[in-house]
Amino acid sequence: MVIGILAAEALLAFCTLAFELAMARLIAPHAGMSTDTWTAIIAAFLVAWALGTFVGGRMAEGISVARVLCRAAIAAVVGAVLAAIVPSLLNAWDQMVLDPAPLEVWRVVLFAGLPPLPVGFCFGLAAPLLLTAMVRLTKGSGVAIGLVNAMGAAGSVLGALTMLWLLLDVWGTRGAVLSIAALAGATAVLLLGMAWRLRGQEGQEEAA
Amino acid sequence: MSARPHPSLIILPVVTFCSAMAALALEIAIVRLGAPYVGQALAPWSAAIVSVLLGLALGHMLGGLVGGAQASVHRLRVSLALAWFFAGVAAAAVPLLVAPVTEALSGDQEPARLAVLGLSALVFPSCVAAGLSLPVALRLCVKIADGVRPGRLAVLLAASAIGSVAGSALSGFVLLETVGAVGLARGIAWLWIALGLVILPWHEVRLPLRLLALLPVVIAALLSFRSHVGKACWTETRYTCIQISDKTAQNGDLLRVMALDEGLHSLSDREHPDRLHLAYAALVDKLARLAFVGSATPRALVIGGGGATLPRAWAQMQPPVRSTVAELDRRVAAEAADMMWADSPNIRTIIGDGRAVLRSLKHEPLFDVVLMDAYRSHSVPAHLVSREFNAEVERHLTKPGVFLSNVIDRYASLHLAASVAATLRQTFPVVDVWITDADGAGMTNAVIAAWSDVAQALRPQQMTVDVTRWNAGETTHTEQVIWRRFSVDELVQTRGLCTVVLTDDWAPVDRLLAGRSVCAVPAKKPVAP
Repeated sequence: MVIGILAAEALLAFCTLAFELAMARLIAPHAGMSTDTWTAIIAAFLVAWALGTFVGGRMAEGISVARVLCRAAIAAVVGAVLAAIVPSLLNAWDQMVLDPAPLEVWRVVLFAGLPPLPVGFCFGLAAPLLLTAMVRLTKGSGVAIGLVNAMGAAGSVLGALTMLWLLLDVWGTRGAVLSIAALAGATAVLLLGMAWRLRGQEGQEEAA
Repeated sequence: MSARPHPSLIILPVVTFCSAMAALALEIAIVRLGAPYVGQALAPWSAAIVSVLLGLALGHMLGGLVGGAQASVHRLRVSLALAWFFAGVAAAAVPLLVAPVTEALSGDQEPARLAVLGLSALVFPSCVAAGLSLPVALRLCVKIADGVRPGRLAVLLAASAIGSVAGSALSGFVLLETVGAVGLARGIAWLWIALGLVILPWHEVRLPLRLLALLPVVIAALLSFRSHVGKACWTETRYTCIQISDKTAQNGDLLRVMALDEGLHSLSDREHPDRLHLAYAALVDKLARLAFVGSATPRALVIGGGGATLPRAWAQMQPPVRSTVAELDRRVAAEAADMMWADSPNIRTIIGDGRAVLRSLKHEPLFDVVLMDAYRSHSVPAHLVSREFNAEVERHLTKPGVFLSNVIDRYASLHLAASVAATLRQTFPVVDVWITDADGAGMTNAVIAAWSDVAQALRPQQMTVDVTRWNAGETTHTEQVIWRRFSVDELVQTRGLCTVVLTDDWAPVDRLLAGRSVCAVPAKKPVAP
């Protein structure tokens, strides 16, 4: 169970960083690649992530570990669906926001910053849910807390490198985004499986 | 009666925020500190990201172990303070180590991969120490609140994430331009040391240890003492370190060189604007002049202005060419006008990404020449080489007109230049690749000329231009450089290359620039007897 949570943390961190870098490539043909676009993407992602972690923490209060994992799975699957549809919305979003004046900074920032928000929020929701599940399962072990954070950071490293050095070159930007969505979906399935197993155990414990 | 939170529960999110901010700012600082030596393309950025995140990951693991499973609040606070002291002192040493590490690890290969790795490794110790802080803060939170409160843990995670945002945004938008990369690294060092001083439980520590806690302050002060370290930038901007230096030509003219990070970008002649001393600029000038001939109001679009040497030269023609320059960096444009003497009513600079500038202009044939000069030695903006971008350029080009692209590639492979040319062939009827042997086996300029009208294209087999070079003793001399013309097919056949069409969705430019092909050369079918 602990290994499953660590794997889920790493996979979602992988998806988050990889999607963030893919966004820069998706945005570039519309708004170029500048400090404005990069900062808008990074800032939007991290703000969404921060908001997600805050809300995710609230969502983890007062419920069983099985339900915590179930909520993390829902966050991952919604993030996956949103990641998959973002590229196809960019042309319409461009017409609405950027087309009237492509060089206006506020338009560039809005255009680049808004699309990553929902995905970052969903992936951010999962982080405190997974941390809470780990803390409860290991009874607050410091090693476990450290491992969750470490797996998150390691997943981020792999996500960044795999996207830059492999996925973009092999599958192109849209293909890479779809692969991220598939990976997030697979993580959701893993979490649901763990929640299902825990639910059975918790039910047995309550009955006993 | 409302329960007041423990003071540490208020302090912890604040210090976590600051530490995360410092770690992300250090990532940006190391890339910029190394940029004058190794550029800031994919490799330095990837190496820095990996170094910082791996450091944080290792720190996170150690943070779970530090002080043992039953560590007291006191022990955790002391551990946190020690970690931040170490992070601060290590960060203060980084600016001093950049030049020696680069010199020690630079080899003949381009880019110097060992130097890139060595530079990024400089921030690893600080990041390990900084990474330790989040789990320790989480454990402190659990200890002080006497149990798991997901809401409080979430606040710490959110503080860490928001700190990362603030660190990147503040560094990129404000601090690099105001205090420079060295100042940024030193500021980060002092921030971490200050955090250590704040979190240390002073009232529970003995006097000798209190005095010992001042040691990091002394070390950081000593490390910050040297005011000039590494290569001196004329000015630092959001994007680049601008270096400006003067040379004297053989005839006594003053020449001014503008280098952006690791690469020489422009060389302007104060007395004779029309004399172009760099080989690629002289060739581009010869090709462009043909496209200007016959136009009553010749116009050019230059993407990636740099020192604006060519627009300045073209402004001297009769009739003068009116150039629109798309420059991403406001400060580079200002230095071009002030320091490189490119302040002319015939030069209009628009600040912005080349593609965004192009789409902001009227969608009609506006320019006789479009020059793409936004490549760096080790980086290529993928969105400025795609088929879709070329189509946009073609819509803005008059007939006859020419789209000239200054590609920097490896002489030994030329994978990037070949694929850029093959992509242009999808849009333009005639595409030539101009190559010189004068740069040797390392990085070289390849000028790609895409003509909109076959009949009006300038296509001799070779052209010779005079260029100015200087040796280590800074003495300048003039020499002749021969450019040879290849069609795309000729280049592919003579070099045994395969080419790909670059699109907005798929443009593996970094791989091509690294000299690695992305496709297989089609095997020649045996001819049937």
